[in-house]
Amino acid sequence: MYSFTRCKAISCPRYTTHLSEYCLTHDPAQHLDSTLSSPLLDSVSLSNWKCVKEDLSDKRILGSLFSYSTFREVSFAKTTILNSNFSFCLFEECTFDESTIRYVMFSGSTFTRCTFLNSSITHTNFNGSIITRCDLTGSDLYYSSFAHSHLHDTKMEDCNVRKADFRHTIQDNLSFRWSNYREMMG
Amino acid sequence: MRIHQHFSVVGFCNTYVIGDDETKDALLIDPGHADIELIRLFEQHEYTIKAVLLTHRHSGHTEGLALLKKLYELTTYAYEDPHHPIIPNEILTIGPFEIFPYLVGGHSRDSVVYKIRDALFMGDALRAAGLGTTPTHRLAEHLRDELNRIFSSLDPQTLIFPGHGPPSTIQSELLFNQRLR
Repeated sequence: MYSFTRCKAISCPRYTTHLSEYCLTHDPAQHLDSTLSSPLLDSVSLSNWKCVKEDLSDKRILGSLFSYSTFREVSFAKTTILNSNFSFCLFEECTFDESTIRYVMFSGSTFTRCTFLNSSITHTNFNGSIITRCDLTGSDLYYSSFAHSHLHDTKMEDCNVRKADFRHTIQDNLSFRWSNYREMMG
Repeated sequence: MRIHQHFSVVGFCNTYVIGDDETKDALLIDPGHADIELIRLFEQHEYTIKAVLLTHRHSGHTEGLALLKKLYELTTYAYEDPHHPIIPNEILTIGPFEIFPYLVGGHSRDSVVYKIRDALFMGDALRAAGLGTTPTHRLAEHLRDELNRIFSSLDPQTLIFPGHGPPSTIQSELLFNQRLR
């Protein structure tokens, strides 16, 4: 499980990584290769990480911290993500297709042109997120929460939204076609 | 410290197992339902369950206790428990864990929130972007005030693990939980 340890640089508000006593800004020479080449990312701390065109597919990400990170064109396809913290992140053109995401925090994050096709995304926190031009078709969203999120031009078709929380959302061209939307909250 | 979630199909409650990687001691919070998956979790990590902490005594959060007591030697802590009562605002040390209990009431008379390191285990006091159900509006206001008092005294990155639904942080709740305003 990750911990919140502040970077040793004076007055830096960021968190250390699992490899150093400093954050990625104050110690940019950290070698992430061994972490990223492993099929299992357990208790990894990479807050404020700028991740571009990385292939994180088919991995298991457990108890890890990635808050305030940027992910651009990153593949999480068939990845299992459990008990991890991706809050206040930016995701652009990322794919989470056929992934298993459970007890994960994405609150306050922005998703643009991302896909989550045929995924199991249960007990996951998307509160306050901005989701634009994303496709979650065929996914199980049981007990996930989208409260206070903005959902634009997004498909949640053929999804299980039982007990999913959509209260206080702003919805603009959001499609729930074939989904059990009467069973959601909000 | 490692936190594992287990979803109880009975009562739709989250059960939490908090394990220490070095000593293999573990705490169990709100065993709503004991099934093979939960027992496999203990065995897989070779945990010794040192104690059970109850956030409150509603059946959806305690029903697994009877079976688990048959399998393991368990000490149960709860507010006003006749044998092992939780004393609010008094640190309880169990193995490698330091537990700070807050009595919040609201949802039920005995509702307790436990702070263990960077994490708060909320029971039914709070759910992500919502407040726990309360019998009256006055109790809802009391609960909101208690939670705001606790949250204002802690780091905003403190993790929140509710009895139902997904996890959160104090920061997210202060931003996106209208019921706390």
